[in-house]
Amino acid sequence: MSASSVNHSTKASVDSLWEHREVRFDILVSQMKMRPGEILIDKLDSVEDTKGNAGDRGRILVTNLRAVWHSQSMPRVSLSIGYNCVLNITTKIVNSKLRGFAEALYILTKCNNTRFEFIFTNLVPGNSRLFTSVIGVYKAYNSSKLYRELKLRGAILQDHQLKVLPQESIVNVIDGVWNLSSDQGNLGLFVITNVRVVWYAKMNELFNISIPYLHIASVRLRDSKFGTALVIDSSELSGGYVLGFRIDPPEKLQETFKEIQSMHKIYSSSPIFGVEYSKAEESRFDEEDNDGEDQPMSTTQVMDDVDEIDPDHPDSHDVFTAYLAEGGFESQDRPPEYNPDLGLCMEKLKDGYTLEGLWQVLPPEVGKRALNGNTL
Amino acid sequence: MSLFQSREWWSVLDDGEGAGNEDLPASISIQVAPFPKALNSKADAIVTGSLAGVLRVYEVLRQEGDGTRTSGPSNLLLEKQMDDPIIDLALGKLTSSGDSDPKIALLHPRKVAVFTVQPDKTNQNYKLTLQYQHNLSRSAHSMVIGHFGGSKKDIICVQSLDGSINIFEQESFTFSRFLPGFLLPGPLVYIERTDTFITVTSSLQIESFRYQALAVADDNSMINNENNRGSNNNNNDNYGKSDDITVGRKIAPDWVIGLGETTQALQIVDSVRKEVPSTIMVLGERSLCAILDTGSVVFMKKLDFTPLCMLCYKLDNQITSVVATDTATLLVFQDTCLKWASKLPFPPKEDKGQELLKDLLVMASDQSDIFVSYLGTNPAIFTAPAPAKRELNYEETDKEYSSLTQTIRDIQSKPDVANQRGLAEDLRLTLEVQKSLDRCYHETLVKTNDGIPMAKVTANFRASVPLSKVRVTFSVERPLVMLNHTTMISSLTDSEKVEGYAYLFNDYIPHSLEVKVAVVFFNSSDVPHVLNSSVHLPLRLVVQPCPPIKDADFKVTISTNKPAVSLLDLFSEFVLESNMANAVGFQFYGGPFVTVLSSKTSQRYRLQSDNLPALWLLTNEIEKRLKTIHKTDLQCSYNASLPMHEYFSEIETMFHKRSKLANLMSELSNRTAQFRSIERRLLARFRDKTPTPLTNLDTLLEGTYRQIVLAAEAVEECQRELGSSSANLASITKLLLMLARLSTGISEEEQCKLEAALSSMVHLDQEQGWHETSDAALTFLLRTSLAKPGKENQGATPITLDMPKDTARLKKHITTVLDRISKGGRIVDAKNAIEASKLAEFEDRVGLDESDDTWSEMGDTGESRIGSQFGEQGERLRSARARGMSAGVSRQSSQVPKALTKEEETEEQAVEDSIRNEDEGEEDKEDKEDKEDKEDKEDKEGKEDERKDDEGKERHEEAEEEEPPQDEYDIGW
Repeated sequence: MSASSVNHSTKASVDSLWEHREVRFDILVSQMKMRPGEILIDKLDSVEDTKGNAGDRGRILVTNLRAVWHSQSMPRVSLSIGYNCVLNITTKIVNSKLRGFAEALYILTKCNNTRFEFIFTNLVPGNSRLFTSVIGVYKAYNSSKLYRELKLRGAILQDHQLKVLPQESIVNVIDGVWNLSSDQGNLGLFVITNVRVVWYAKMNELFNISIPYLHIASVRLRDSKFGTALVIDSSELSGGYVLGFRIDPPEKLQETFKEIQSMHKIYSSSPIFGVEYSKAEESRFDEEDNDGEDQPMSTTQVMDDVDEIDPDHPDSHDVFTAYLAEGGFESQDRPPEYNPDLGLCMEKLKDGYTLEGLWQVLPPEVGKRALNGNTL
Repeated sequence: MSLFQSREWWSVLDDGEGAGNEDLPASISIQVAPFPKALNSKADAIVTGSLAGVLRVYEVLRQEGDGTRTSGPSNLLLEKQMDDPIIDLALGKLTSSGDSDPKIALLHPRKVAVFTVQPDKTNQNYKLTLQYQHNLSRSAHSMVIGHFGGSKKDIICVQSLDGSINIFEQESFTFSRFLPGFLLPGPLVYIERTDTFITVTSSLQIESFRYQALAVADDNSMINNENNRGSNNNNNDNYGKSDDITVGRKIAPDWVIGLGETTQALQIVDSVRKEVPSTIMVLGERSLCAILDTGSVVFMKKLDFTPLCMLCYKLDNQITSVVATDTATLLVFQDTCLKWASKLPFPPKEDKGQELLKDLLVMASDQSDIFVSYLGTNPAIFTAPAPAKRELNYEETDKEYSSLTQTIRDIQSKPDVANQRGLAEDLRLTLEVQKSLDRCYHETLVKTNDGIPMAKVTANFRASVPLSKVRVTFSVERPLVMLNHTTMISSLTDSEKVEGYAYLFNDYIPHSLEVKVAVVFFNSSDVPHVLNSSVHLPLRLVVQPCPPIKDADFKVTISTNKPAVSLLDLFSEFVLESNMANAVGFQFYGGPFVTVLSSKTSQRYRLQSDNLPALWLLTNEIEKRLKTIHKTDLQCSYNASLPMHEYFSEIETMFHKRSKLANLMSELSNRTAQFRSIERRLLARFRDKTPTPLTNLDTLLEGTYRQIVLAAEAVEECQRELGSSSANLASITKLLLMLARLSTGISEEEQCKLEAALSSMVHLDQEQGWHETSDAALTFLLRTSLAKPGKENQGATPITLDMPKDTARLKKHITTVLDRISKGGRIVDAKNAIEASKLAEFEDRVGLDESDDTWSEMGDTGESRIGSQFGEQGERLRSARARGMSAGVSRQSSQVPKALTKEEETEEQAVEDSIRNEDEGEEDKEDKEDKEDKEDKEDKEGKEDERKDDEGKERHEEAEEEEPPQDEYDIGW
């Protein structure tokens, strides 16, 4: 929830899932492979990374978590863009080295407080699959956040029933579950599904929590002042919540505990990310454009021969600079401060600077004099 | 490009819940308020309502020295899915209860609802409770709340789409009023100081209405409404009144200011003191305007960009306006002076796209993302560094460079290539004829016992880009017809199939089995294109096998240099009996028989039939099939005489039919003219008020009517006959040309030119007939390429293309052309001929052993096209001949047969004369001058021939020695 939580934590298994929430450069072969639950949705050859590797023919892999681009001549040169980092995907007319002026896919991302922008150009004229695939999958990703994000006080109920997600199925509904967040405790219901655990208060449906297994760091039983309680720890990424629940009688508690634990295990081995994208409308023409390589992994076979770590390579440390959308690291945003001149919040001015000084192109005195000179 | 950026302080990306419904714009309304006091006192709340119907309340914590924040799950205080879209939302004191917590008023299309948000007992969660709601009888557009009429509480005013103002004072409906002259709803705001509503009408004026004026204007309508109150809301019966609003014309605006442009947003900047007028800020399409609530303009600033939304507030007695543009730039104006500019991450949503969270800017994007920002002061002078250079492979680069230059050169050398490439990429067409024929059930004039087959032709299209209005046309030559001959594909995105069926319709002999397909479409760059393709129909469509018939009137024998192929193999697609290997009969459906014989020993094929036109299709088919079997080294020849007599009689027949048709048509027009004049007379009589006797005009009318019917039938019959005759003529022409080619061995190029001149295309439906066009083309040929030596320079005088009086001249010209060709006359492009002669001279000099074949090869080296370029050729030819360098002529002279009889020569002379005389328009005198001319010519020609012969001898001594005996060429002529 705060900026610090973006730090990579290896404590929980879900926190190691970086694919969808990070932008990485020159990734390893192992990182290019699909992780469990990750599905390759589309693969396009002849795509140029117009911004960073202009003039280089590459291939883009669209999965349900990220878009991966790698050069075809040098497979080590690659990018992995998690959809969670994406701020904006649009199309732009760019001047590509390989295609001249063409419509290109423009992706603005933000990862660890740094903005990167990426421009991909499809080198096959008239083929718009690049746009449809990436934008379509991103939309699907964006509209399926409940699969992957912890949600408090959300509108997850409709007509006193849990709104079931498309790939979700309810495993069990347990009545009489006390949430121990306040002193009195709140009586509510547990809904255990194959994707998440939902608790909501009987009295106030707006008081609810939806926690996907993806964000459950651990499930355990612990003693509390209310007696033995089921404790669900959420991952650091989701805010590190500790949620206590009490269920009577103890046998039922035990049962529920086991059920959640096993569901968590099942989910961890084959996660459901909820990104659905149908390619049905793609025309056969587009498929012909592929070189007939059906297996995306075939590229990795080629790449196995390549030395993965190439310390001598001059640009192995700063490949990302080409993609920076703005100043980058050294210029961390300074905190806001009320500016009485404008009546708005402004970034704190550096010492020795004034608002006037920053805004006026010419020093004000000179400008005035020039004006006077003209009028006289 | 802005030097300064906006710094993100807090943001939340829309989770695309509305994205499930693509039709719904993901637009949201935002409001900012210090939110329930029970919360952390430092927290502010952002309330959003989306068209998808989701109400959300976010809590934004402010702590000293806190930097950027991201949205976490605990920021969301409340989320509720409403049943209806949320058009607008407002916060205010909307209940009578004493607490000062703002209530949320949500405007749905047909409802306005007020909710309270209160923390539950845990103080962590909130309850959303509906306080009251009003159903609206008119679809809502926007909502304003304020202390109307000096009320202490907030009152809701809803503006409907059709211009009524509905006032709701908490649980009760107060009144409803139509604004005068209303067309489309504009922004509506309320000024508390003057108690007026300000709106912008569709006549682009700002109008001010007093609340009191609106409230009291309903006096005389109350009575009308007494009876028809319909209770259609939960809380207030009086609301039914609004169903019948008849007043409104009495309402007049306080003041009106013409603005002259549509308005993006209105905002009121309240004055601090009551005495000072408030300011109305108007954001137009291209202007920012400040108007006092008294109706006077303070300033107007023209903007050179498109503003989306604005936010105004008073600071140090100056009005500060924050305007966002469609280029994602935020501009801060103080009065009219630009004070600051900053780049935004996205262009905010139009109208109500911005709010202030104390001194932070809250913005909503079109995608419903919310972005809380402050102004950055660090100039963004960053530009992305050029990507690190990777080692270049110079060899490969060079190679690529040269291949690309080559490609560019290739493309530039062909001017049309760009279009052609686009064409091939845009649309691919493949044609397919179904192997198995279907039985034809369609109407046909062919009479057979077992019915006739029809062939399915499929055109497959594959488009790489979406195309619209693709028109597909199949065309075949009569008597074949095509079902579904024109198809329109309104939109072609991927692949499409168009099917057509070809079958025999008329009962005469087909002369072509070709299906031509033309596709007309606009390519992706809107350039019209035509795609042509053709395919041959199977022979089985028109003939069926039958027992061979021994005797026949017409015979065509083709000799080959290969052993004869069994007819069973040659016509493998037909079911033939095994004894038919050497003789097989074919019958055209409902037509004549053709017998094909093959002789193993003599390597010859004979086709015979009682009907000459029927021979063409099979003769052509046999030659084609033999060529595919034997590939290129097959040589066919034909040694018998050409069927000139039959040809001429067919020409004659057709000519007579044409004349007959012309006569019949004039007859028909006479009759119809007569009919009309009788009608006029009759009409005049019937109109007459005093009845007069018809004097048998009615009988006359009836008689004329019968005559017309008879004449029309005769015309139809004649047209049918003409169709049949023209098909026969086309068949025989093609046969004749083919046989001429086989017997003289002229090159294909020459054959093409000959075909262009003596066309087998017989058009019936145009004024110029076959006879005159063919004659013109042949005359041209005779004057240029095939001109007699020494007469090449004759100018091509215009030829009148009227229907000739008889066919004698045409026949004469056909004979002459074929005769000259058979005697070695060459239809060659003069330019090529010159080159050829030069080459030949050169080769003669070096003493190469030249055979006659070399000559023909030389003549063929150049490229030229047929038909359309005859004139051009002629010009060039004439200029070439002026220099006396025509190889064609020299060759002709070298081959002038010595065996010409006196008669032949005279005949030729006569033809020559007639051509020349026609040029001079002295056709009539031809006979008289004939004798004189003949004598003159004979003398001249004799000399010329001698001269030419000498030249020829000199040049072609070797060639002549090796020349095959003349007999071989003269056979059959």
